[in-house]
Amino acid sequence: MKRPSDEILMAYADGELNGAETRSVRMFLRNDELARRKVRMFRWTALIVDEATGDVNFKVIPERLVELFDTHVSKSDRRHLWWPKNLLQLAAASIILAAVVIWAGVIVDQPMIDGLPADANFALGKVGEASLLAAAFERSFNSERVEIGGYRLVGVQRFEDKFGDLCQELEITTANTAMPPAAVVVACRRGHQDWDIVGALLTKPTRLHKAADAYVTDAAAAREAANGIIAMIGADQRSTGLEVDRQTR
Amino acid sequence: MAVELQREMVDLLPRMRRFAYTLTGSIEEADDVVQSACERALSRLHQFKPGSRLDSWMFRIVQNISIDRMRKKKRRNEVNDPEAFEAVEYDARIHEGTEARLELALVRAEISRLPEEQQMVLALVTVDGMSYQEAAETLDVPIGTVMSRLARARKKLAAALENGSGNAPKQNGRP
Repeated sequence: MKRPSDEILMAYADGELNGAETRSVRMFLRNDELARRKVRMFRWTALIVDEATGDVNFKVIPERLVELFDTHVSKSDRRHLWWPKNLLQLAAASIILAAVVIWAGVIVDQPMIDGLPADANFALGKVGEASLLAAAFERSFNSERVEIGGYRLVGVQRFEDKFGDLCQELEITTANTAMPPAAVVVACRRGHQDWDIVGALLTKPTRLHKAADAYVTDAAAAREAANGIIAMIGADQRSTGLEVDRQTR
Repeated sequence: MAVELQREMVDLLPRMRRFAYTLTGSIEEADDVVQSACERALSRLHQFKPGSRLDSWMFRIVQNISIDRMRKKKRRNEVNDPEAFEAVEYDARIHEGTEARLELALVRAEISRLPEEQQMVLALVTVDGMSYQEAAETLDVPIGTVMSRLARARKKLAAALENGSGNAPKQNGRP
């Protein structure tokens, strides 16, 4: 058999040949050291290039990229808005608008979780002491299952940060599905009283709030990014809820 | 349709970032390229042909923007300036510290020295994992061209790294 070209040897190394071609190259390789070396070289280059370009977590998307889509979606949505073209339509629109304003006055300040901006499930920073979210953290910290407005808060783990405060990592998921988490939140209880959200990640760009740290595309990326936050706050101890309970008693 | 496309584009962001990172060798620059590519794509959504592959379309936009930027850089003698490369390697030593990281930085530096068309095919096949056929369709070239560009790129890379890091397969072929 004629020596296969470098391109064919590379295709063999990359698994791009069909069964007959693969067998043919394999037979040739048995007796040709130079060809075997080339195949090893092609495999090695694939590995080293993959390694050299895989040292960044590409799934943790910077906010500036996600914001592009948020902005664009709202712009394109605006283009589809109906606009009154005569007096009759204008009058009808006014009546509808008045009704909407009255209704919105009731609901606009009610985010999914109390004490937060209307466009966010949560925000970085101190959680209002008497808020529903604080109560949810407390209950979750005590290993209770907490559901709020169609969302479920699941306590993932507890640990101590560098100040010795107890912290809790939570996942917020939709209550009725096994969807990836809508958010991952890391909160610490300052002075054993107030909750302070020190890290927040979202998995849906449309829910991205400026106060969140990053947008992540799936649960694995959320986990990795949450670990980064935990490392940043200097947690020297990560433990299960049960272990923390024992230590604090 | 437009909203659905935008959702698909968001899902493509990790792949686009890695593709751009392979071409630029810097994550900050890669994100700049991806940002420009997304802005361009969002403003030209009407040009996307329904039924065709969105990833190919987006990768081509990323490719074009990346080439534009590379050429501008070359004009400013930033890329081909040997001192700039020395600085990259020096910085890698200072800031990253470990030998392994330095080697990866060297690999990225060698990738950035490849001709544009070889970088593209390397990024699509070796990094993104496209088949030769998919890469050919994305780049709009025959599959034979993809194979020859890819083989040349990898041989050049192996030769450069063999001379540089000393870890490339040599006589016994083991890294």
